[in-house]
Amino acid sequence: MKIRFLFVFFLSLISFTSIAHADTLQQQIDKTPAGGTLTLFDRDYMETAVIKKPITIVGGEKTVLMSDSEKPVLTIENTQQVTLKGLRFLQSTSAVAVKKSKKITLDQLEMVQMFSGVQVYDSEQVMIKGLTLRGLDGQYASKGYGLAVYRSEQVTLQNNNVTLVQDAYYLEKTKDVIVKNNVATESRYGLHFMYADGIKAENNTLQRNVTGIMLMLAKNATLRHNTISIQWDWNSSGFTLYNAENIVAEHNIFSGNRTAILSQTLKNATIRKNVFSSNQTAIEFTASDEDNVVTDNDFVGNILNIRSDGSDSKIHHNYYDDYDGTDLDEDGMGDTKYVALQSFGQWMVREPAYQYFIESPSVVLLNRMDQQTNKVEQNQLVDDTPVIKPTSNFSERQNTIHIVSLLFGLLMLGGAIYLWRKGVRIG
Amino acid sequence: MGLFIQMEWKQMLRSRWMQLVALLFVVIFAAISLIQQMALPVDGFTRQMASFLNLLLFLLPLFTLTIGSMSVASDIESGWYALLKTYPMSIFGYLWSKYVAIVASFLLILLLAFGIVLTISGITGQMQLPVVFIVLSLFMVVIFSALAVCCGVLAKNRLHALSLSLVVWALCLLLFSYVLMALGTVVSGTMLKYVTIVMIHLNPAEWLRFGYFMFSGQTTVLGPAYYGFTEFYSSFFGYFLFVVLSGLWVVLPLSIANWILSKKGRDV
Amino acid sequence: MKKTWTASLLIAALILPGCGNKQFEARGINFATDICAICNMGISQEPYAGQVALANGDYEVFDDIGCLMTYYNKMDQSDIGAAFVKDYSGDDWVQVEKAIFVSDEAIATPMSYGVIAFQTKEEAEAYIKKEGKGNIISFDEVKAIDWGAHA
Repeated sequence: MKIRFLFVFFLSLISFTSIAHADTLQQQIDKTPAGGTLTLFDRDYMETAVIKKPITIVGGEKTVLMSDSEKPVLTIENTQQVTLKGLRFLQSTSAVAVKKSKKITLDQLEMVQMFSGVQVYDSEQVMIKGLTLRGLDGQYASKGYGLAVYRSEQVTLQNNNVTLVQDAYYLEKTKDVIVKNNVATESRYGLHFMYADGIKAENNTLQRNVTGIMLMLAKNATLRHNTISIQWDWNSSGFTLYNAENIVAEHNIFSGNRTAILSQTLKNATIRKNVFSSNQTAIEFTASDEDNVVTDNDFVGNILNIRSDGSDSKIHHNYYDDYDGTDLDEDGMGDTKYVALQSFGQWMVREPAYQYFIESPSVVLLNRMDQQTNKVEQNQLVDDTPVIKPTSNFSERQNTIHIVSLLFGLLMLGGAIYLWRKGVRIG
Repeated sequence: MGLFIQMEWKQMLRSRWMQLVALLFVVIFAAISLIQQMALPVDGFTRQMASFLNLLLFLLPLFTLTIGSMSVASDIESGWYALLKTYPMSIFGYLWSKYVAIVASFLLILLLAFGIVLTISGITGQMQLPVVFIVLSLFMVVIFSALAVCCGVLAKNRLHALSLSLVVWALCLLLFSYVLMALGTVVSGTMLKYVTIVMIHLNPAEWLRFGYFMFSGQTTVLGPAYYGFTEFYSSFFGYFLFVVLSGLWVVLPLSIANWILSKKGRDV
Repeated sequence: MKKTWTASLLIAALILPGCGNKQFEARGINFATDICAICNMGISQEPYAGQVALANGDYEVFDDIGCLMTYYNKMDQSDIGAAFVKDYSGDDWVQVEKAIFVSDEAIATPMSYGVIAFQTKEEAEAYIKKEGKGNIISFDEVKAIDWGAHA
């Protein structure tokens, strides 16, 4: 009796799972009660589904979701408290769309070879974390956005890693957004904000994009502790701040960018305590920027530190590695002012074709002369209190002997001396 | 002719000028490789790279032009050339030997200088000498030596040769660019772009500078305006064309020198 | 000396044909390098693009008709040779004076200005019918929109 019961029990279990195994994703979702948790099977799902109730969906170890339709694989619509966790998406147009929903969490999603990743529309309290997304190869125009958020509030993007898409993180008409610890590489724009109000972007790493952070028609943004390096394309920049207001950029590290901060019609921005190293141009102001302050930054190894087309901005208490003044009273600030204005830099802002001459022999000479004549400059791009010592630490290189280059060097040296002596002696 | 080249070379190496230049180069390169240690670990066109490039562009042509042209001019002035003409050697043979001797001695100086850089960077473990720079200096010596021979033949005496080579140097490195930049204030951006592209081909210094950006894969430095132009040269055919045109910069000055000298010979 | 001569000749040869040329034509977009002259965005979607051929032979391109008009309105009209917008199909350039504009806030454009352009009135009407949004406006109305205050 007992054995028979067990047998039937197991049989039913097996048949239940096997039937359930054949369920479509949508059927599985529909079978799960509101507020319940659905764990997906270790198989490939080739379909799209819609979620309209509070639910938690967890992916199995080998679960793969994909679809060949234009629609997103999962659409979350008119609901709240939905959590997606540990799902894997492959080769689809889009993974997840969130529409008119509240309290949505996307956790540890993985996406490979996707046209685009997640779209959020008209929603509130959305949290996306630990997501990795790898887009497609090819032209930016043929790719979609990584994580895109439209008309939403209280959105948090955290610990995500997006690469090879058009815009890694796109936020349009959003309010109160936090973007933290994310990585964006090899995309057109790393973070792209449009018509946004209340932005916190912190500890993000943006590398090898066309532009690191593109901030357009936005206000009240804090961009802090980000690392922005090697934005090195034809029109690249670390930050592009266009038509923005009340922006604070601090403690960021810019290295190896074409232009570290490019700003146009920027109002009331504070750029402080950043490190600009080895950029072609560190900061460029264009088109009547107002009330902008550049203070306590380190400028090291940039070809041009600050250039502007005549816009007004306050510059003080920065460190410049090409400042040649002295500090006789030892107050930590130079005795003479630093003039960042360079005629050539100004020309380059106005006429891009001048770019060809960047740091060419003739321009270097010109800049030397400039430095003498510009000492009398009073208003434009002048730092009255240049700092003598950089605030950050640059001496983090290790010194090891490089045997190969040493050997080659000695060989060349010895050879040269031998040839010389031999050449002089014959005859 | 081989003997003549050897003799010329010996003379080159013995000259005080040459030894001074060698010393100067070694000191400068050593200084640069030491300063480089302060550079930041970023690849690409940084200010350090730019100053290194500019130093090469400024100094190497200057010395090649002056020393080379003065050597040729002094031959003619002192009657050494007249004496040589009594030997069974063609005018071109003479020019060619002269050219080879100049190139060889400058290559020796470069070998010395690069040896210093590599040794120092080997000891400190910093900054490898980019191959592009080595190639660029080779091109530079090869092209400007030819121009130097041409200047020397054109000159009446050594002083004239010196001033002539200084004029050529200033034109290539500075004046051409200034004229262009001034022109840019009058004409449109597109026009400035075209004129600049034409100028790159007409000015060996700019040509080599452009070559640096091209071969180091940093054409984006030149700005988006030159996208089409750099795309064209960044292909196999482009590289080929670059070498051919650079070869022309050697052949043309030498043949002009040959032509002038043969005409002069008839007049004398 | 010789070189300077050749150079100046070449310059002259380049400059002279530039003068007196009154026929302005649109140029193609280079996706790798062209950025909007107003907002700095790369141009990735042709259907919304615009461009201005300046009287001096230069070109400026724009990613959105709104950016084009911002530029158009602030420029001295004598400096502008001709202004073009891309037809919504993304294939042809149309002179702004001849284009049919459709406006609606709900139309998604790169800068969300919500204006697109068509070559013919029929195409514009077909679009409005199909999408169920937008209305046709004239170029003068487009000019009169306060583009700057959009934000």
